[in-house]
Amino acid sequence: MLEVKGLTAAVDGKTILNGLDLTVRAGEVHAIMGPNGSGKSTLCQVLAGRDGYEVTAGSVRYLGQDLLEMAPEIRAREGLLLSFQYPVEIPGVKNVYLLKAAYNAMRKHRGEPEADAFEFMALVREKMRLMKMDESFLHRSVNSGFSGGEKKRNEILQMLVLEPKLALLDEIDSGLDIDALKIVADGINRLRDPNRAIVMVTHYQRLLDYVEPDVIHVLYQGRIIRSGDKTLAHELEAKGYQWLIDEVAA
Amino acid sequence: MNASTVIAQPLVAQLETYRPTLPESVAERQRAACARFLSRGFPVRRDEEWKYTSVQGIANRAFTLPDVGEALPQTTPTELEWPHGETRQWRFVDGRLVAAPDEPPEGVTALPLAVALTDPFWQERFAAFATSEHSSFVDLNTALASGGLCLRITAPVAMPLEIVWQVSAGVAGEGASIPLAVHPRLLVVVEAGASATLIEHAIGDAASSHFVNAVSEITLARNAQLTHYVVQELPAAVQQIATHAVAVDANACYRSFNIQLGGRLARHDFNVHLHAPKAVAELEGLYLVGARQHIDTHTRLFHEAAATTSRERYRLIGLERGRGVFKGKVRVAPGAAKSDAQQSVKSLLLHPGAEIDAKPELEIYTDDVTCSHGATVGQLDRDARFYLLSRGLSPQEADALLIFAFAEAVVEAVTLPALKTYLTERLVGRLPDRDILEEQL
Repeated sequence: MLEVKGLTAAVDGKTILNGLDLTVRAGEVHAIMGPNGSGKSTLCQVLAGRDGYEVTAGSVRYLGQDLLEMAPEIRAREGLLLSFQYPVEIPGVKNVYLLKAAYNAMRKHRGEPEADAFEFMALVREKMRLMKMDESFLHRSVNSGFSGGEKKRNEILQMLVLEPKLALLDEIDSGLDIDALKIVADGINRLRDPNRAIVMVTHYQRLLDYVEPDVIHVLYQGRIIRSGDKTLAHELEAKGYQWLIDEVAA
Repeated sequence: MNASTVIAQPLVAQLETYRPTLPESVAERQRAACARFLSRGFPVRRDEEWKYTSVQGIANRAFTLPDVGEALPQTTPTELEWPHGETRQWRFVDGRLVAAPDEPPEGVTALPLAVALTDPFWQERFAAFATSEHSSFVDLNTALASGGLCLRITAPVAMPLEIVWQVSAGVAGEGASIPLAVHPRLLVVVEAGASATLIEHAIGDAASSHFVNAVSEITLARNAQLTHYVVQELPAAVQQIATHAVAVDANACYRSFNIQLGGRLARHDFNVHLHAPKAVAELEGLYLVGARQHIDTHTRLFHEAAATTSRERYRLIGLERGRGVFKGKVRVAPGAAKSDAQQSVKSLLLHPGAEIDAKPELEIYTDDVTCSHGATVGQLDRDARFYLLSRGLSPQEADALLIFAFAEAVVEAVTLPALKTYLTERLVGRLPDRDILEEQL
């Protein structure tokens, strides 16, 4: 589904990603961990198509296409969705407008007719119940005045409604108390599907207790220095990153 | 100042042979205002308060005063229809009252200006505190006012009161019709504990090129409340100057929505005096500045007593090659301790030829106050835009939604549902990519 080869990217002339390789297949759940400044968020932003990131080398194939050639909105419509580490507050744009606009943009892209308003609302309400969000969220401005937990639940709600092929979750667990973490993790587990891939970027092992990844990667200085199964997370939790960095350097 | 350089000759002639237009009771005040205006003339750009707005287009042009004895000009009734929900409505054409409710709501006394001024209650209040300090247009209105309305509110009134100020195409002249100078006057007194909602809607015949010089004097007694909507949708060639003088007593709250959509030149001054403890003013404003439009508002908030509060939020959108001006002055007088003033002015420029000048001005003469102001001029928020793109919205959809949201911040606060719907529709109709918005909203 996703094949990243030798990806090198810079911000303001400073190289952040440095020859990153990553392969993700349908049905898999990947976790990318790594110390601060290792390039985790940059990877998410580059994959989502944020401007201001200069890709200087490497390639990204997504569903057989050159992802880097696609405009951000086309990536989303093709099923690559990023949940933001810091979901943006947009006063005045109601949640329900955004969900509907996004949903219809994707249907239109696939050559399907616009959603029936009644069916769409039924779908949204069902997903909101899963995320334990109350109806009033629909008519509140996108993320405006939301608590940290509400913002993250809203990101997962969008995923549940929009049903991406590849869900990129950038620190979905940061700023969550334990109850909110369980709700968010439950939402992610509902996204698991043989036809869908999930890539979670996280600092903490805690999320992985609730969402069990198939593969764990450690990102350091813009490249993946180690990949392994879930036991790698326990090792990192116990020993930190330094032993691995030392081992790779040796 | 040599007045003849800034007053067109026909107006000088009118003023030099001046005869008061209102009942004898206020004739002295009218004569004095006339004399002051003659010596002072129209404001010029050298005046700090008129730095960004030239009124040469008014000063140099010959306007005719409406002839009270003449038959009313033809109006276009369809222009008067707007789906406001239920209100009690007074309609004026070129400053003359043409329709009034059969019966005003309980707690409201409404009188035409000339009738009201035979009553000492209104005589006392006419030109009592609308000062010409910042604008000689106030004197011009005082001298030439011939029509208007006096509203006295003595109880909480739920039914919105609405004044439609319409301008006609002008009186038929030889060839083109002759534009008029209209000087409407509004007096509002909200008595202690009373409350009301007042809508002023300025509209007109598309062919109109009148000059409208409006003055309102609004008094709120203790514990009174007034929500005052000013919706300006004048035709493209009309020039309007309006001065709103507002006095707010203890624990009273004045709330205004200043929605500026039309006209060629529209200059509004809001002079709000919070003259007793815990008086509150909330000023909200929204402009859409289109091609060849010049929209200017000066607000002056005078915190004259302790624990007074003001909140101000303006949103200015430059849609085309036009100009928007906002100047917000806050003056906290000595002794007005524990006052709290907050001002937020945001502007959005959507056209390379659009120009917006927004200027806060704080004068604080006491300690122990909370004052803040923020003014931004710019394009759409990049982070918000990317967030919407990352959800699959096209760049046009993202921009349309963000522009709408920027303006909607003010409309959202409108508490009358029918008016909110009306303004939202007006807004969508003027913004770029309206079909996208109509689909989404």
